[in-house]
Amino acid sequence: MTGSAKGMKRRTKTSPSQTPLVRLRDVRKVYDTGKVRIDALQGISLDILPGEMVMVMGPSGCGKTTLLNCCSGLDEITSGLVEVEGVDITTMQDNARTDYRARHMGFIFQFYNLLPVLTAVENVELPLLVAGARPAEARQRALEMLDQVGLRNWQSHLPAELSGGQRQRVTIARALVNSPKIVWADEPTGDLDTATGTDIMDLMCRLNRDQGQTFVVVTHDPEVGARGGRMVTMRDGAIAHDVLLKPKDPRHAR
Amino acid sequence: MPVDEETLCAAVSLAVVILGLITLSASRNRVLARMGGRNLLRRKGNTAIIIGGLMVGTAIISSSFVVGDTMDTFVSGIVLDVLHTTDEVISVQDVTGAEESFNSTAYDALAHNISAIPGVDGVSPQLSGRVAVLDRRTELSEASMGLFGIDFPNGTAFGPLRTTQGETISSLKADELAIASSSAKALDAQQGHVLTLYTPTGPHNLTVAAVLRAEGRAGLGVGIYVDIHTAQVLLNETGHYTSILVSNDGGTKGGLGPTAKVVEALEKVLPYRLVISAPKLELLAQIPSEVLVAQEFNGTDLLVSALDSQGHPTALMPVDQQALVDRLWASPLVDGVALQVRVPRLTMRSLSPAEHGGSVEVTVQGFEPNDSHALSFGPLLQLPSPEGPDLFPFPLGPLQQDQVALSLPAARALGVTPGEYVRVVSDVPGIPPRDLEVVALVSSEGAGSGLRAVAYVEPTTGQSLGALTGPNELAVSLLGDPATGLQRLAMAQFLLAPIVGDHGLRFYVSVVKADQLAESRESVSEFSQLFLVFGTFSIIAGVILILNIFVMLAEERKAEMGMARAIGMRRSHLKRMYLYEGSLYAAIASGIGAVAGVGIGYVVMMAIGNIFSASASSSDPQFHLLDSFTFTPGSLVVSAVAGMVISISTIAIAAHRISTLNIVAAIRDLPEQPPPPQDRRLVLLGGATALGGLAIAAAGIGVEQLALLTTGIAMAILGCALVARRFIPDRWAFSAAGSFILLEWAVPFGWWPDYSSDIEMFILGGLFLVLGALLLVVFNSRQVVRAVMGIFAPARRSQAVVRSAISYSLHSRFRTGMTISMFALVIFTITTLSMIVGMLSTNLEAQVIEQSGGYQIEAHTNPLTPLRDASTALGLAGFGPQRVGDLAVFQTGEVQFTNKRDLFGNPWRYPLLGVNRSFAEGNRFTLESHLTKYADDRATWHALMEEPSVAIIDRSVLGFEFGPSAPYRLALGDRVEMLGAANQTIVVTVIGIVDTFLLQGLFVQDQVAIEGFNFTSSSQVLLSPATGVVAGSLAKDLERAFLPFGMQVTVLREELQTFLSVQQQFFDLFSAFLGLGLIVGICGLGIITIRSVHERRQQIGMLRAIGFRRRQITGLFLLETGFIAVLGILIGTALGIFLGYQIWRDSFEQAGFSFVLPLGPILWVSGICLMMTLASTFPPSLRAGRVPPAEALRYE
Ligand SMILES: Nc1ncnc2c1ncn2[C@@H]1O[C@H](COP(=O)(O)OP(=O)(O)OP(=O)(O)O)[C@@H](O)[C@H]1O
Ligand SMILES: [Mg+2]
Repeated sequence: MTGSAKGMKRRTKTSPSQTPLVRLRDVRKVYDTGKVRIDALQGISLDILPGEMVMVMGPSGCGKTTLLNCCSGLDEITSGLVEVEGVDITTMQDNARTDYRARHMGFIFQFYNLLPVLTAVENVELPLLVAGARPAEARQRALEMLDQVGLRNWQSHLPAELSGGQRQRVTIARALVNSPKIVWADEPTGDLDTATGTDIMDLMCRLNRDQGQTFVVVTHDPEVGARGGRMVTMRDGAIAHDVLLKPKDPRHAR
Repeated sequence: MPVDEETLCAAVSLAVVILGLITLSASRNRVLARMGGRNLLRRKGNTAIIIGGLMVGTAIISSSFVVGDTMDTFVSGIVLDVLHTTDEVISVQDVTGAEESFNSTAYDALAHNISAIPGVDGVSPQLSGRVAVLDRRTELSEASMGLFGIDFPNGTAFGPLRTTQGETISSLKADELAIASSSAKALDAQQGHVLTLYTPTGPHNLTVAAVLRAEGRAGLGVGIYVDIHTAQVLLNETGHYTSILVSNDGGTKGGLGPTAKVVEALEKVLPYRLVISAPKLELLAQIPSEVLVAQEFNGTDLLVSALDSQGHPTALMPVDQQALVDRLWASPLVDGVALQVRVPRLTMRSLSPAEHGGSVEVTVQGFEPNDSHALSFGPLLQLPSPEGPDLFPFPLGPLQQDQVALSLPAARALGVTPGEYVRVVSDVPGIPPRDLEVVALVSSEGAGSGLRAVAYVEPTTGQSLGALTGPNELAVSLLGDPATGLQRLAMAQFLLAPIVGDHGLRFYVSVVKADQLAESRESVSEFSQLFLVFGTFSIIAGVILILNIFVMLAEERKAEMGMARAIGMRRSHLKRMYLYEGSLYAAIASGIGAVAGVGIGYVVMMAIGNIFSASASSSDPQFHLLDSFTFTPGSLVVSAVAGMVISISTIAIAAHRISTLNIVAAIRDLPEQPPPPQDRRLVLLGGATALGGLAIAAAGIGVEQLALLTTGIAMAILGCALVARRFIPDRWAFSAAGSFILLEWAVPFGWWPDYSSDIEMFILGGLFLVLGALLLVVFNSRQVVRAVMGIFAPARRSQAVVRSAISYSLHSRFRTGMTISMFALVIFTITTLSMIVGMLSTNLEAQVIEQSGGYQIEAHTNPLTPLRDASTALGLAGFGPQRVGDLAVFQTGEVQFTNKRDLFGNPWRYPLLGVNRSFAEGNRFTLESHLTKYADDRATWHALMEEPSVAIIDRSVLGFEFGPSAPYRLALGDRVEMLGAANQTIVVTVIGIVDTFLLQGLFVQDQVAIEGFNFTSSSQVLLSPATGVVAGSLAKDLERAFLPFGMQVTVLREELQTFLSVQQQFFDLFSAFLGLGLIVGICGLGIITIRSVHERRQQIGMLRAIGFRRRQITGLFLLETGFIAVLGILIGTALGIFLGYQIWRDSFEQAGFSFVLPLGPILWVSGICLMMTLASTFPPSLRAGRVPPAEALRYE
């Protein structure tokens, strides 16, 4: 879709007053399986500002997940530049990058978010522990986060004993427990029914609005996509559109 | 222990039945069978590891069979090497049962008759003895070597003597000898060397005419062979032989065939032997009341019984009957002689249906009421009524055939009264049972018995019960009142012996080949069973591994199973599917396992061979164990079947468990939930288990089996826990059960009743201790984790890793529990073994002192050439105080206990050791026990020197806790009577039992030995080197100096050290055997890790995303298995130390051993075990760390 919807404004330039949290310049990613070469990202340049809620959309296979993985340093890029807080993470050693993720990033995936053998609260405090926090403080903070997502009473349940929506909320609590600079979410509502999905989006929007938490959310769902402050549409490994949205009143989404 | 045909048939038919049933069921469920089969082919790696796990059991069983088969071949090979074609040996015993040489004319009279026996192909006399030997050329000597005098003309049937050049020796000159290969090696003797043989007649020089090959008659390779006439001169036995060798048709092995027939025929050819016994003295040893004993036998003071060459009663020849009666009657001591039939040890049973039907062992006595000489024995009196008092008895009238009069003890034991019938059964084959009518009860007044079960019949009935052709015994009554002077009986027995003895030689046939083969078979089977015992833990480890793998397999196929269930497959279908799949595995694995066991057996035999050759001394024959390596197809088949049965049962259990998995829970990966406490079936099961346990415990008490009792109690505890969880939380119920089970096995062994128990208690102990500990750990896992975290306090960043790892392992409780117990069991056994070895070797000093009494060297001469005045002799030979420190010289000789018989009824000959004051006061032998009136060991030894009527005896009279029981028993406080040199009776009371196996004998003060028995020389001394003198070289010099006396010298510490090192090596071997199971288990852990890395790819990706480093992921997987291994090792070590402590407390502490914790070996084993575990799980864990997060998250 080339045409932009009403009320949308083409984003032309970055406001110079804000330094971008994430800066991508001509990022290319080539998957070479030996048999076929796939240019998953074909020279992406993108700035993400603090406090933004960026929604990434596009048809299946266009490279959304790849983009997210490359931005967050989960995946290596073929060429280009990925800076987070002005630091080039592509040249970092794996350990440094891992530590950076542990301290400054949060993740929400469609599946496989939680360790099945740990209880809700243990799952939530895991990033804190791995980043070296004191266990008592970690527990305290994890409980606060569970409180925020409304699952305080479910703290000692195992993931298998929770519903899909509850699990995803635990995931959000975990993603936010280390007060990350940015949270990467890949189809966080993809496995949920509409009502639950909306709940989850409400939660994320609230966190974005109230606490200025930066989110980058990949989604297929236009309803969901419409709730961000900025929408990046991809096609065939390149950015087709990048528009700022007028923040919607959450009540209208109902 | 070759498998016999019945076992083989049973095994094969069992296998056919099991496999048949499974195949039948599979053909009815084709679809399920196909699914099972496809699963098998789907994952080759899994299939391989499952087959590996299933093989363990079979391989261990088959390897212990191979060990048994090989040892059997080896040991029976030795027996056959020694005996070659000799099947029976006939020797002569004197009236008291001791072997003696006999005049060659006796052989000449018999030889023709013996060789005429069908089945006999050779008869030859032999004269053998032991001599000390010195090679003049090489100056090497041996203190004790067998000397065999060969009758060359007749000796050919007993195997040729072949020289190393291959020539057969057909004669040796009077100054020539032939020496067997190993003996020659020990002396470095070669053809032409002159050897000096030291014999009771002094030194003799003979020339080595030949060195013999280890074959034929010199098959074992030891000994010196001379012409029989030369031997007679050397051993001072001119005109005498020591034995007659008999060879059966059929050569070495085939000679066994005709054995039974030949022995039967020999009995007819050989004259019977007469044994003179004093029944009153025998009974007095049990019932210390002279009055009762005298009343019991009345006038019967001595018995002269005819025994055949096998020791069975046999009829006296009519000529002998008359001659013996006349000769005995002629003695001034005798006032009555009567011929009688007496058959001991028959079994009698009541035939009246109403009675309790017990049986009693009776002696049947057939008597001639009108025997003219019999008056002095007293009449047989009959009781007027069975219930009434033993008053007013009247003479028993003559009995008819098939009538019996019973002594009161017999009648009471059977509950029969006159008019009823009894059946008499003999255990001698060929004698039919016979029914008799009870016509009277015999009073204990008169000649009747009041204490023993005796049945009185008329003589022909008695003869038929004993398969006798006439009377077999003479009862002898001595002058004087039956009730007084029992002391004179021993004397009379001694004095009458020559009268009886003149009758002829008492030949005794030893069925040497058959008996020795049977004996060696027995001991080999005990030995190879030890391997099976230790193998049991490995088998159990293998079973646990199979369970683990199957459950893992099922977890992996959860989704499939859920779907299968969803489309309508029943649980029983799933179960069958797994059973088919598993049976295929089991069948393949048992085949391969049986063969693999042969390989393991080979390695084990190699190790045993090394142990043997390392501990053998140079003069021992060379054994090549591996030359005897044998396995029989029969034992392979039996072990394959046994392994298959174990595997299929395990698989059936696993299949059942899998099919009962809650499918929903399985799909959603919920943790295993315990069944709800309200579950009726579990409560019922608990009740049943508890009751069953109690029943087993009761049965254990009934049959006096400790294994049953303890198992029953443990089962009852478990059952109670199952019931209790209805009311209290699981954690409390099972923790309590675990604690109680631990407590049960913590009870000092002595607190349990004195029931029969064996090595199986060790296995049971291991299993239950591990079970108890496991219950405690598993049901307190959170606390355990907290404790572990508290102890190791991992660095903060690792906490996340530790937490996740432990959570993963606790998540699958069953798998973890099983794996822990596998580790625990094996480590437990190894720890216990190394503790025992550690304590034995650390306390070597204590043992040396305990066994040797503080003397470092033991020396004994050939008993035929004792030292006259040992201390002077030593001094003159240069072993004065400057070389020898403490010296204990005993006045030695052999005595006969006239009031004691060994368990076979033979007279009891025993060494006597006269001790001097310095020994009594200076020795450090501990007493096992002493009469309480003496304050301590010292006081007891002191009393020995003060009172001539007391004695101390060695502990062999107590019998042994394990192994064969000694043929004789004696207790503290017993009186022992001996005949002195002047035919006086010497009585001593045993006041102490000394705790050593080094010296066997009755210790009395030297005055008693010298004055009472005229024992003035010593064949045994104990000594210690003077300070600064090396024991080893002193021993060598002594042996050399006293070679003419055949002195053999042992340095006790060295002896013990060799013994301990052999023991250590055997324990190591057993540990290695155990380790086999562990290795398979560890490989299994590696496989499990591979599977879980695969299963958890996405989780790994997520963890990487949220900040786990590569190394942390690797660490997580390593920790997960490491945690299980460490827990298993800790439990095993703790329990092993616990049992080791118990063993110390129950049996080592009193021996003065200090408690030793051999931390080195324990840590070493645990460390290796842990390292191997980590090594096997490291590669997959490393791979887990290398998983690229982005890609991992992409996988569905
Ligand atoms: N590991 C890989 N190896 C080869 N090709 C890959 C790999 N990962 C992704 N691709 C390819 O890269 C392209 C982009 O994939 P990506 O997962 O980023 O798409 P997407 O937009 O997230 O799709 P969806 O909406 O279905 O999740 C696709 O064509 C995919 O086939
Ligand atoms: Mg995607």
